[in-house]
Amino acid sequence: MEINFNKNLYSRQAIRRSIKAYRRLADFDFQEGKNYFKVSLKNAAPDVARVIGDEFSNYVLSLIKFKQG
Amino acid sequence: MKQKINFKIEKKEKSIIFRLKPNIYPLETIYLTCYAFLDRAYLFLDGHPKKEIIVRLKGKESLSPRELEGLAGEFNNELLSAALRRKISQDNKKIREAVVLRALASAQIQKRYLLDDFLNIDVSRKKSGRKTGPRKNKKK
Repeated sequence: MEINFNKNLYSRQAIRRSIKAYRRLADFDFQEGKNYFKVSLKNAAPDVARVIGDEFSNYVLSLIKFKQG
Repeated sequence: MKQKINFKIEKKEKSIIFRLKPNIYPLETIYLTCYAFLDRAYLFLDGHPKKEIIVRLKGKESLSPRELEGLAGEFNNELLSAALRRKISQDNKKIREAVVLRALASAQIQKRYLLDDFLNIDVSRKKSGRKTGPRKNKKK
C-alpha cells in the first residue's frame, strides 16, 4: 500500500514521527517526491492490515502543527 | 433558492469528498475541523492551500448514504464554528496579549515584594527614607 501525502498540507516531521510510532505494526518506506511524500506500507500485522493506512493518515494529521489565531 | 453543495458522496467507497475554498475556510480552520473529526472518521487532505483543498472523509464504521450526508452536514457546521472561533481569536489577540502581559507584570512585582519580605530587605522603605532592616511587628 502506498500513501501520498501532499507536501503543501502535510509536514515531513509529522510523517516521520508517525512512522516511528507505527513501526511495530508494519514495514514503512519513506520517499520524497516533487509534490508528495510517499509512504509505502508492507507486511502489516494481520489484525490491523485493514485499517492501518487510514489510521496512519489520521495519526499524521493529528501531529501537524499549525498556527492558530 | 438553489443551494451550492461543497461535497460529493461516493457511495461505492462510502466516503465524502469536500472541495473547500481557502478564501472562505483557511487551511488552519480546515485542520481544526479535521482534528475534531479524527475520532469519528478517517480524513485525508489533498489539493492546493491557496486554490482548493480537498478533504476525503470516511466513517470509521460502515455508514449508509444518509448517515454520510449527516456526517457531511456536521463537518460543514464544524467548519463554520472553527472559522468563527478563529476570527474571534484573531480579533481578540491584542486584548488577550495585554491581559497576559499585565498579569505577568503584576505577578513579577508581587514576586519582588515577596522576595524582599523573605530576605527582610525593604527596598521601598529604603527609597522613601524610612529605616531599613528586619520588620518588627507592631505591638497592639
